[in-house]
Amino acid sequence: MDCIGRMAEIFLCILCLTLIPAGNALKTCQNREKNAAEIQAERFYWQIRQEKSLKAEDYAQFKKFFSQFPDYRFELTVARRYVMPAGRTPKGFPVKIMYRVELEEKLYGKEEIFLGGNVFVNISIYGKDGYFYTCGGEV
Amino acid sequence: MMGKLAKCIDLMAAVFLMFLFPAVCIHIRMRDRLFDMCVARVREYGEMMQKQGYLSMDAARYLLETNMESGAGILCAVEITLLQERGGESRPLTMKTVGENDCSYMGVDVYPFSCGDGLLFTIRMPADGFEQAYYYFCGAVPKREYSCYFSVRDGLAERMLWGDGEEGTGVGQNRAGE
Repeated sequence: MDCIGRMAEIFLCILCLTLIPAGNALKTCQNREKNAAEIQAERFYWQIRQEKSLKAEDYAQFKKFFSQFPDYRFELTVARRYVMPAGRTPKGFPVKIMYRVELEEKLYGKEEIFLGGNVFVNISIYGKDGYFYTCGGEV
Repeated sequence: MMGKLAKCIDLMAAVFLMFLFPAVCIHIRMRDRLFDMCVARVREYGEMMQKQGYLSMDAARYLLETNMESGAGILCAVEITLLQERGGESRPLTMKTVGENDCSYMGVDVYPFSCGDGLLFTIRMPADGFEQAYYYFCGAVPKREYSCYFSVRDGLAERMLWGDGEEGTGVGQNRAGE
């Protein structure tokens, strides 16, 4: 019985000295990955906001960054609000939302897509562990 | 002899498992929370700077002075670096830089930003002795580090150019007389 108790003690000590700190260190590394993704998303949004356009080069860089982190994926949406002339009843919802696929199609072979006014950009990051971050706003 | 050694090992293991390990865990958890609080505080300042378009000297002192000595509240536990990005170039903002380029705005000494200037804060918390001991068998101590990015929406530099600096308000009067 003594021997079993001592083995359990040793096992617990090993667990406390190696596995638990290693788990914490791994979590810290994951947090830093998330933080880096957030910074990229914020920078990308501000680039769009400043240029008032979506540049193919910037988008390629942003996409390349996420290709290095397979645990995260992103969604980019551009919502354009149409202001209807006075007296006209809008048919349907006066907002058009373009998702990443459509934007990539539009960007194919072009240097940039001009966005102009009344446009809202939203960048969302999704992690496999349920992590979610969103940023963006008016351009 | 062997029996005494075994008892000694038992005692050490018990002390470690019952007291030392939980104490170190609690200490590390508390430092994690302190770091989160510092990050939240720095984010508040960043958002304020983003909206106001300037960095007041009081805020600069609070954020950028060698925090260890200045008694800067909870921020004395962390090291904060601030990079100002303008036109693809980034330069570190230190108390010296801020002090050299400050001006008076509404009677307060401020460092003005331009529209679109990027502000990259990096907050680091060095590991203390307990943490180094905790991670000793992992080989490396993971550093606590957090970065946040803000872009100035409404820069004070532009507002001053557009005639915000009316006489009597003390707006836009550079200390160096430029």
